[in-house]
Amino acid sequence: MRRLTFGTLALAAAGVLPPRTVQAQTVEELRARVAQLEQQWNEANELARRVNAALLPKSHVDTIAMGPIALVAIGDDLTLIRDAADGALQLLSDHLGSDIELLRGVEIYALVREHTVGLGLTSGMEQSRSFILFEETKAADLAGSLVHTALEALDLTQDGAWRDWLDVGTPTLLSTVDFVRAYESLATSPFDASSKCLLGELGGCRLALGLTETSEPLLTWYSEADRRTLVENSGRGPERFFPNRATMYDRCVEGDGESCSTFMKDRSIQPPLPPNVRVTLVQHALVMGGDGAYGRLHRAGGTMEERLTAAAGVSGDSLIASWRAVLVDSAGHPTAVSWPLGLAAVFWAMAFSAMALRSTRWR
Amino acid sequence: MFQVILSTQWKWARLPLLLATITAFTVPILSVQGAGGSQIQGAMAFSVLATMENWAVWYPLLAAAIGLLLAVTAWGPDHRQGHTYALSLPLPRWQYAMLRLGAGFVLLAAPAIGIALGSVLASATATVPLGLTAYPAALAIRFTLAAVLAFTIFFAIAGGSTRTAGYVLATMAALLIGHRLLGVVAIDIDVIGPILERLYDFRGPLGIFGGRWMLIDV
Repeated sequence: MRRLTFGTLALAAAGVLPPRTVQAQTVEELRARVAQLEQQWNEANELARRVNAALLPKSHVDTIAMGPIALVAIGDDLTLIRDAADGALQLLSDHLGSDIELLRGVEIYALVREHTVGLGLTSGMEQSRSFILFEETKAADLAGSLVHTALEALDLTQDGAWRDWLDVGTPTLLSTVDFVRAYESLATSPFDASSKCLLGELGGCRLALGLTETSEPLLTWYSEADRRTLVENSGRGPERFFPNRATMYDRCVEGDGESCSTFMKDRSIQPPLPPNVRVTLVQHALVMGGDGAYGRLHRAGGTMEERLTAAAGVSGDSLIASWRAVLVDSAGHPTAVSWPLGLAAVFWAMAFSAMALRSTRWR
Repeated sequence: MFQVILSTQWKWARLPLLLATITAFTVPILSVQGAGGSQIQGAMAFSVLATMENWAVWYPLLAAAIGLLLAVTAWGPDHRQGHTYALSLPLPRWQYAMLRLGAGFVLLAAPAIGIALGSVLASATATVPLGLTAYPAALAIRFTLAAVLAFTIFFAIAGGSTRTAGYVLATMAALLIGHRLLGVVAIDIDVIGPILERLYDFRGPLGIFGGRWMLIDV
């Protein structure tokens, strides 16, 4: 009996036997479990925040008005937080314009300890987020973090469909580099819709960005060849232990389209272009929309495209076409030698040559 | 006089230089072959980029190696013979060094032409996937500038006295040891990082060695 038990344990440890939870649980049960764990995580975070506050009996507590945001600062030295709050308010005002009022009622907690500063959202937010900033943190860096935390609050007020689609949160302050990376993702995407988008076909962009509403994303957003690519990219992984999955994989790779669709059926299907590309579309819509764009995005319901066009104040076609143009323009020529780089190389070559000529080696 | 200097430097460096030129010609072609050769259009853009990135590391290394090779061969025989040949010439040292430098620049043309031809040939034989672009000229220019820069750096070091070379090496060693010691005594000051950042900044002396060395890129 002991041998049997030991053998079973050894097989389970070696991964040969899938755990019972994997065998028995359905997708719904796993989702419920994830939701339960998320709730427990939030409760533990809240408890940790209270304990942290209780451990600082001599700390000062101050509520700093950061425009419409209440910044509750706890700690011995709040100078850094106050300086950062001023900087953050300026950045938020520049970025949001009149939409800064959307942040009224939002509270951000800043807990300053000897070595770290933790920031988090509370007061009705669905979840709290915090991060660690080190002692040498400068007010400007902290201001950037405060802006990020405040804009997260805007994202948290969007519904689940929006957050599921965007996946990375409402864009804060994207740089040119983010657009270059997004272009790289578009240019190197292996999917048909992305290639069509790159060529300028707006329908392709809609599919690639997941803007085309559908109950069958796998069949709508991805072509048959794409679905095979998806299966190949996902690899066989642990699924090699399930004979029917392995057979399905093999059939798909050999060219059976039906097997590819069946293989991917239970997977969460994301749009062909990754979140870092979708977020540039949102940023572009907000920039096009100007003052009030965040508010319109916040208030608009409906499909993702309807929300974005409401924010941008232009039609869907105009928005997507101009976004694509901006993305393509931003790509530049990363391999090309820029004039400053070339001139710097020539300058240094001349400088080193001059050094070689000035040497008095044999005198 | 220049012809004589050029001729002697060519004699000293011709074999390794020929090898370097062939390598410079071959690397771009091999990189495209690795990405699928004439069938490259059928390959996925990201896999082409991944292959190009794998090959990208060899270009700056090759440029630096060519610079080092030419600089060492330019001064090596002089050092070995106690500079008797140079001292027998009716020339001040700076003029002699300039002739050696000029000869080195002329010899650098061989690998520069090699990589230019190789890049053009590799780009011409492959149909680049949608969304990507071939940059044969940019790659050749970057390579040539890097090789010239590497040559001047090593030429300046090799042309100086042993003491100068010692100072250069001692400075580098002191920086490394200092950085290590600061770490040992738990002083969190990054000495090397900022220096490397400035060296590889686009205005820095090694800026041309940074960036993307891709024959095919977005």
